Amino acid sequence: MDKKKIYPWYFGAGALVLYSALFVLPSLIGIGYSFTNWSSYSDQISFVGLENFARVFSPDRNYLDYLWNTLWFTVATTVLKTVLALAFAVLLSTGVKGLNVHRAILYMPAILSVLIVGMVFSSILDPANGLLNTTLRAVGLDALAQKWLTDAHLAMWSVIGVDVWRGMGYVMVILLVGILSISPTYYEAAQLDGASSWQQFVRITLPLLRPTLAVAIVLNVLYGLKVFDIVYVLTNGGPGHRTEVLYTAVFSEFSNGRFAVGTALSTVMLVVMVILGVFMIRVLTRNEVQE
Amino acid sequence: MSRTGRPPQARGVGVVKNVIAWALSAVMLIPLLLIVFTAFKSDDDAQSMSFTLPKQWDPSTFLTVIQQGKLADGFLNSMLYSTAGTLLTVLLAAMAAYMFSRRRTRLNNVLYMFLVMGIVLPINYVALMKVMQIFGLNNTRLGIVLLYSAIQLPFMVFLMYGFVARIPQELDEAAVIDGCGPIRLFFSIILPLMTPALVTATVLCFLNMWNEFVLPLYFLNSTDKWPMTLAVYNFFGKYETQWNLVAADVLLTSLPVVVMYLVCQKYIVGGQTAGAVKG
Amino acid sequence: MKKTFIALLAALMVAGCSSGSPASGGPASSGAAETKTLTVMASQGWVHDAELDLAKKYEEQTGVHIDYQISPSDQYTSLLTTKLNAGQAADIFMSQSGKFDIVSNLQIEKNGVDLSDQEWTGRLNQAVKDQVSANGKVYGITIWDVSDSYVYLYNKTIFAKHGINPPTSFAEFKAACATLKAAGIQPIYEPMKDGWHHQLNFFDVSAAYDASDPNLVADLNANKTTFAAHPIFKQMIEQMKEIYDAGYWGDNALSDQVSDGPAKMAEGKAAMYVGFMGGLSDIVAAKGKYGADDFGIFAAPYLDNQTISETPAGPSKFIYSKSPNIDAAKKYLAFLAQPENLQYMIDTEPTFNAVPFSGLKTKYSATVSEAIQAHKPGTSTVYQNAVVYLNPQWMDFGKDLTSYLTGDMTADEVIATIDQRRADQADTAQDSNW
Repeated sequence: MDKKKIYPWYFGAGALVLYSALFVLPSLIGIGYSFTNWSSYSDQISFVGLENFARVFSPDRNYLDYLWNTLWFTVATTVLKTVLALAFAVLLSTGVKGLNVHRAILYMPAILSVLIVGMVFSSILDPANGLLNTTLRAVGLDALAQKWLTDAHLAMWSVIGVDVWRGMGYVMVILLVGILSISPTYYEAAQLDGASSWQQFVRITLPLLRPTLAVAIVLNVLYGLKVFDIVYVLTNGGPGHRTEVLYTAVFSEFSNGRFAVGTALSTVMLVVMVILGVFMIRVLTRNEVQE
Repeated sequence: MSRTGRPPQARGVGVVKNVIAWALSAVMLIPLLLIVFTAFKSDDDAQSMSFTLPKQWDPSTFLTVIQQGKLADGFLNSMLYSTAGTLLTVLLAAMAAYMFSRRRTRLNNVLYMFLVMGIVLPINYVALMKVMQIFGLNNTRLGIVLLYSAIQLPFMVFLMYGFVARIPQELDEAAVIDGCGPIRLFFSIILPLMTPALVTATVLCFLNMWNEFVLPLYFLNSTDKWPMTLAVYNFFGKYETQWNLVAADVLLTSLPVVVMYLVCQKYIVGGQTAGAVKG
Repeated sequence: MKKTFIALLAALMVAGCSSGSPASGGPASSGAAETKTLTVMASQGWVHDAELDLAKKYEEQTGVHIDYQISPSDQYTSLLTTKLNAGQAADIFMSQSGKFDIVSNLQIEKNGVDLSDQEWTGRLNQAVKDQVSANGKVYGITIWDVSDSYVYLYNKTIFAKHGINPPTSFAEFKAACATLKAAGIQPIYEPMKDGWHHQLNFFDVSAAYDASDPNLVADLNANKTTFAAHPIFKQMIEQMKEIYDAGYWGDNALSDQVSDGPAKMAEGKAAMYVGFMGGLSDIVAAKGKYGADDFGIFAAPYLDNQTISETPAGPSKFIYSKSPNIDAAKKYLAFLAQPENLQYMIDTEPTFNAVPFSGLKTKYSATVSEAIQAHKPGTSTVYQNAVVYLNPQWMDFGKDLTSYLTGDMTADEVIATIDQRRADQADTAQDSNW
């Protein structure tokens, strides 16, 4: 069989050409510009070497703090979403009536635009009249009523919380499908051997769910590192700079017309993510390649 | 343990489970009700967004929004971009995923990685605008569709790649022996078998394209080409915001994706990762 | 569903094919070709209904449709610089005027069209004209009430009830706040959530800065001195922190929003609010417990300031040099600048008391006229329009100020960062003074 003939190259050409022309090319140009003093202030662009990168990594700038915030956000949302989603998925995989209705509802936040999520939660988390604090006060938990989005110590957690709200259902539905596709014969056999629920979870569910879990985790990590809009609509990096992440910083550099610094920052991010992404995708597809 | 009838303990657990399920659904749903309530409020009632029932259910906001925001035009534009973009993306992604998955040469593996890397690639708007200009795509509907596709392609290829691998290669061989050319093989044999992955990709792609609002802002220079998502800014003032109008607009704008999702939801979740992981 | 899909796909093909003809953007033959549509880029809140009425009238008279593209304000600067940089801006673009910013950020000499020969430039107020001019050439038109400035709007009735007079010094200001707070009234409504409001005072008390050193503005602009070298700036934000720490901005200042300001004042929920004098009409329109007669005006009292500074800049319109419709755009601007149309704006737009053109009837209320007479000698200009490389960092400075108020930054750090950002900008702009 001649694979070249059955699977001609031009099948992949369309995607590659479109993607390269409109997505990779601009990014490459951008990377090129990150070694210049490109800005909206001047047409003369000259090469400045690593100056922009030096600025990004310089300790008297806040970028390293933003990097730290980004990592914190990524780890926290990934862990919370995955653990919660897994717990609920296992719990709800049996004995729940109208599972499809719940599935539809749980997934709903993920299909709405971030703009809407931002609007709704700015209102809910409003310290004076927001739904959350009013409810807490109504049930006598006044002490728990907080300035969710504006307290310096809480703001990041609130953003993380909203993001978990938005993404948890999505992850859960994916895991739920994975769990439901595990053949019940495994569990029946285990029950005959007298395995406890916990043992069944650890020995059967978890290993068989591993590939699905892995994809969910990778996508969450990449999403977390790239996060911009949910932070932007909720706090815009505030109070002060408490919830500033890398892409909100990139955005503000671009707004100020300092294109080169902005690109340098996103180039650094790109390198980190490509390394991480390629590594993780490799791990994921490892079994398959050996096939 | 008796073989007939459920043990009472299990029934108790079942109730608890159902309660948890509903509680969880409520947590997801209540914030969204806020939008619905606000949309039906009158102007005076809606000076801020709060979780109270409207004093009077006033559907006239929707009419105002449709007229002032030119939502009908916006709807058609959104429909055009999302539909055309989705069809293009899904088709190109399916073909590419199929080819890369079947012909795993060293070069093809590298190209596949290169393509999938796009999942993490940030968009550089200024550079992108220059490139769009070179191709004459700025401020054209075609340009926006191609751009949407280019950006969605990496994830969609990733999604379908593994799925194709699960379709037995023996099928291809049989078809070739029967005299099938590569194009007929793909379109009449492989593509139908990919239906679950195709539906998933279609829905996800459509959702993402429908919700997009930054790209059209940058790459379309006239409002008659703007999609529905941008109309909402007509209702945000710098000093005052008419929340009822904003909520009504947002509700109308999300309606198509919600409907689309509900219709297709049973397909979505299955294909979501199945394709990507199961070799 | 399927049929719609196919129909739409067909529509796309057609659209795709016809998209070659330039709607705007491409270098179409200018002048000779008839202009059907003029595009205008603006940020939300910059185009009032009165202007849209005029645009409709213009379309009826000439057949030229004015396509206003309103963008989210938080994206606008980025959008505009990107489009200018890529040569893709609309026929007319709006931007805040500012004699420094239009040259550095907008590169107006390259991107704008010289409008000095237009009839209306003769009627445009000189100080305002300066802010849209570069090297003696006029590039833009400011149809905005720039006679207005940010001031303290206060509730006279509440003040009187507690025996408080409008403060004439910082000490009196603090005392007034203390009295109000003790009486259970939130002294000041200060919406910090939007990110652009709470720093207004810092820029508004320029008269106090000027008084501390008459050469300060000139020296700052020539890079002969820095913000850090003058303790008055630090003193200013320290006073702000004093007010903030005492809780005079209320418990929820960080999540309060500008859009709620008028309603809070009308309801008497707060006694003071930093707003435009024209903003009094918003308070009245909010129809609360208090009406037009209940409100008064005083100048920002930090640093014992008693002067309302001039704000000669505002949202302005510029014609894009690469537009294929330059002549048509000039005609439209000339139309807007006709005296009867300007008068229509003043009469129709509630927040406008005047626009900066000669020969028009203003509609200042007694309250506003009094305040202008008492506090507005016209000698000081708000700092963002007086000092170079300051306005572009408005939002960033606001974030720093919040960090300082909430204890994440020190006053020295905030002031030093102003200097650092100015240096960064000067560096990017390749300014020879730096």
